[in-house]
Amino acid sequence: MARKTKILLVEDDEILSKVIYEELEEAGFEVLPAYDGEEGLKSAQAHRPDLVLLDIMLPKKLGLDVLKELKESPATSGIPVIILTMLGKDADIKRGLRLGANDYIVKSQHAVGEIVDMVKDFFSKEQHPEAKHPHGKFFEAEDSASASDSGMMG
Amino acid sequence: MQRDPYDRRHLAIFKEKKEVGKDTYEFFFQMEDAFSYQPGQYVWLELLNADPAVPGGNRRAMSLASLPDGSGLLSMIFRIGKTAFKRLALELEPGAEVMIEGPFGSSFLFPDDEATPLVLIAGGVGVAPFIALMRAAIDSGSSRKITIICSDDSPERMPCHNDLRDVIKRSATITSHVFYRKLEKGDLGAVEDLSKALVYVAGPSGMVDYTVDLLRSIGVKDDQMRFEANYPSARHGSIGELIDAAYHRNPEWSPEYIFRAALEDSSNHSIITDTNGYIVFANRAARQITGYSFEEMKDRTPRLWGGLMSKEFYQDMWKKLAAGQIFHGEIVNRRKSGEPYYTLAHISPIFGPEGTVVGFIGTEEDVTMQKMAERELEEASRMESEFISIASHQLRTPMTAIKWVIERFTKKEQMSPKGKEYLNDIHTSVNSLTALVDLLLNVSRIEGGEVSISPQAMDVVGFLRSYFTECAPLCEKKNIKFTFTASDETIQAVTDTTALRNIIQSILSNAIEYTPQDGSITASIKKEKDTFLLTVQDTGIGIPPEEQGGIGQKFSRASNAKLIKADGTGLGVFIAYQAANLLGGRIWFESELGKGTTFFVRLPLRSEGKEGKKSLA
Repeated sequence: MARKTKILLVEDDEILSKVIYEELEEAGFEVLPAYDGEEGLKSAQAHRPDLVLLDIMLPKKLGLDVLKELKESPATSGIPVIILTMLGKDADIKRGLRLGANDYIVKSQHAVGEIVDMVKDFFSKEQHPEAKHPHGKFFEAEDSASASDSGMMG
Repeated sequence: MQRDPYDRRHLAIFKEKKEVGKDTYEFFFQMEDAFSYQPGQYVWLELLNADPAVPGGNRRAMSLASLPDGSGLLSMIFRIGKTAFKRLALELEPGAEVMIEGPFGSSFLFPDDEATPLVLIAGGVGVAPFIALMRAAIDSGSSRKITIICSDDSPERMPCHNDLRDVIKRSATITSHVFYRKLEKGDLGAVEDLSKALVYVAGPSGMVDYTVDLLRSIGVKDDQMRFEANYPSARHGSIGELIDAAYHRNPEWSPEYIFRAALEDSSNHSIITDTNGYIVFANRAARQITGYSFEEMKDRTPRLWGGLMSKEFYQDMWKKLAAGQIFHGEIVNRRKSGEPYYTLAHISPIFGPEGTVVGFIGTEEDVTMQKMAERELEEASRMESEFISIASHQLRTPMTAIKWVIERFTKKEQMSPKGKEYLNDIHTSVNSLTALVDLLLNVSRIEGGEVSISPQAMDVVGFLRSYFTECAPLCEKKNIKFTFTASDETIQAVTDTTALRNIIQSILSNAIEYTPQDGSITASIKKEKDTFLLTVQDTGIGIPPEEQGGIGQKFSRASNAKLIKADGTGLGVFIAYQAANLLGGRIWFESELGKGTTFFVRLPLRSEGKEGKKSLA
C-alpha cells in the first residue's frame, strides 16, 4: 500500500486547525499539526512532509520567517508550501510567493471542504509542472525581489 | 485751549431765515470759530432746543448752500415738512444756539480732471449743494461740461430758482433741465455723454434710491455715480462715507474710534510695512501673538518672527506682491518666546495716490488651534481606520471557525429538521456578519488610500450572469421579475474582479432591498467604445430629490430607505462609488420617488493596475 501523503499543518487557532485536520484526514492525508512557527519549522525539518500549509500570523516565529528558513535550507527547500492567510493581505501574499511559496489560500473566503479540494488539486497539478501556480498571474507581474524583503515584516 | 483734531463740533448762532421757494427757507447761522468747508461736503446740524429723550431726532445731515468768506456766516436750505426736526427748526428764534459738526465727506467734490462731463441730478433741496459746487467751479475759472437736472413737484416749490438761473448765466458750459414732476427714464436717457459722465445725485433718500434705479436701468454703472456722503442707504459708501455713517449713528464713533476698532482692536493680527518690508504699524493682536512690543518691531521686517517657511514660499509671496496681487497662505511663525504658531495670512499691497505700491498690509489669523484640531482629527481618523482594520481581521478568525464547524457538524452529525434549521440560521447570521466586516474593512482600506487594484482578463458578461444567478433566490422570495440583457455574447475586459463584485453587489442588493414585492429589476450591459456600461433599473421606492446629492457619501442613506430597513450602514453604495473610481470609471443614477431608480456604471474595458497594501475584500 502506498505511503500516505504527509501534510504539515501550521495553524495556531486550535479550532481552525482541528477542523482542517479532520477534513484532510478524512480525505486520506496524513496530517501533522503544529501550533506555532518554531514547532512548524522543527516538524518540517524532522518529518519532511509532502506539503506545508502555513499560516502567516503565528506565535514565536512568523509564517514568512518559517517559509524563508525552509527555502534557505537545501534539505527543506524542495518542500512545497501553501500559505494560509485570513484576508487578502496582498503584501504578505506577494512576499510569500516571492519567497518561494507555491500558492496561497484565503481561509475566510472558503468553506473548509474547499480547502481540501484545493490541496487535492495541488497534488494533481504537481503531476503537470507547467500548471504549477494557479495564481500565476498574481506574481508574474511582480518584479522578482530578493528574499531579504521579508525583513519588512512585523 | 487746543481743539481735539477729531472733534468737529462747532457752536453756531441762528441768525435768520428767508423764504426761497414755496415752503422752503434758507437758514443763516453764524459760526463761532473758523470753519473750513468745501462745496460737496456736508455737516450735521444739531438743534439744541430738542427733546434730548429722542436720540438722534434732533440731528440732520445738511449741505451748505453758501459759506461767505471769512465772516463765518453760512446757510442751509430747509423745506418745511412734517418731521419733528423740521418743526423744531421752524421754531428756532434768532439768537438760538445750534451745534454744527463737520465737515464730513469728500466724495461729492468735483474731480480735478476737467475732461470728464458731469451730470448733476437734484431732487428738491438737493439742488443746494450743486449750486455751491457749480459756483466754486465757475469761481476757479473752470469751464467743465456740466448738465444739471432738477426735479420738484411745482415751480413754486422749486428752491433756489434764481441761484440756478444765475449760475447758468455765468457759464456757457453748464446746461440745465428742470422738471416739475418725477424724473422718467427718457429725461435721463436724453442726456449727452451719459455713458462717460460722472453722475451726481442729491435729494431726499427716496428720490435718490429711485434715481439710482433709473440710472442703472439705462446702463449707468455704479462706479459712475456719486452721492452726498450722508446718502442714507449707504449703498455706495466710500470708506470716508462709511465712517461718517457710523458717526451719524453715534457721535462717539469718531473716525479715530472706528479706525481703532477696525484695526487696533481686531482679533486678527495686522501689520503695515513699507515697500521694503519694514514695519510701520502693528496692531495689538500682532504685538500679542508675536510677543514683541512695537518698539522692538519698529524698523524691523516681519522676519523677526517669520522666515521659517521655504525659500520658494517667500519667493512666490514676493512675486505676487510685486505684481500688485494679494497673497494668501498658511504661514508658520515663531513667537518671541520661541513657540511656533500657525497663521492664515492675507498680504495685500497698499496703493498710493499715483497707483504705485507704497507698502503692504498683512492680516493674519491665528489658526494654531484649528491646525492642532485638524491634526488630532487626522490622527483620530487614522487610528479609527487602523482599529477597524485590526478588529475586522481579528473577527475573521472566529467567524471562519464558526462557519467551518457548522460545515463539519452538518457533515458528521445526524440532525432533526429543527436542528438543521437552527444551524442554518447560525450560518446565515455568520454570513451577514462576514459581509458587514468586509464592508467595514473596505471602507477603512479605501479611506486609508491603500487599496490595490489587480486587473485580470475576464468576460464581464459571464461574470455578471453567474453573479445574477446567485441572487436569483433573493428575487424569487419577493417575486421580483429579474431580466438581464447583454449587447454582446461576451465582453472581454481587464478589470479587478473584487472591485467589480463590490460594485454590482451593492447596487443589486439595494435594488432588491428597496423594490417592493412583485416589482421588476432590469439589468443590462453594453460595450461602448473602450468602456462598458452597466445599468440596473428597478421599480423601487426611489430616492427623494433633495437627498440625491448625498448618495455615494459615507453613511448616507435616503430617509425612505431608513423606513424600510432601519439598520442599513450606508456604506455599500459608498464603496461602489469608490471602487468604480479606483477602476477609472464612474457611477451615477436617475431616480424618481415612488417610481424607481436606475443606476449606471461606466467602467473602462482596460483598468489600470494600482499598487497598494491591500485589495478590497
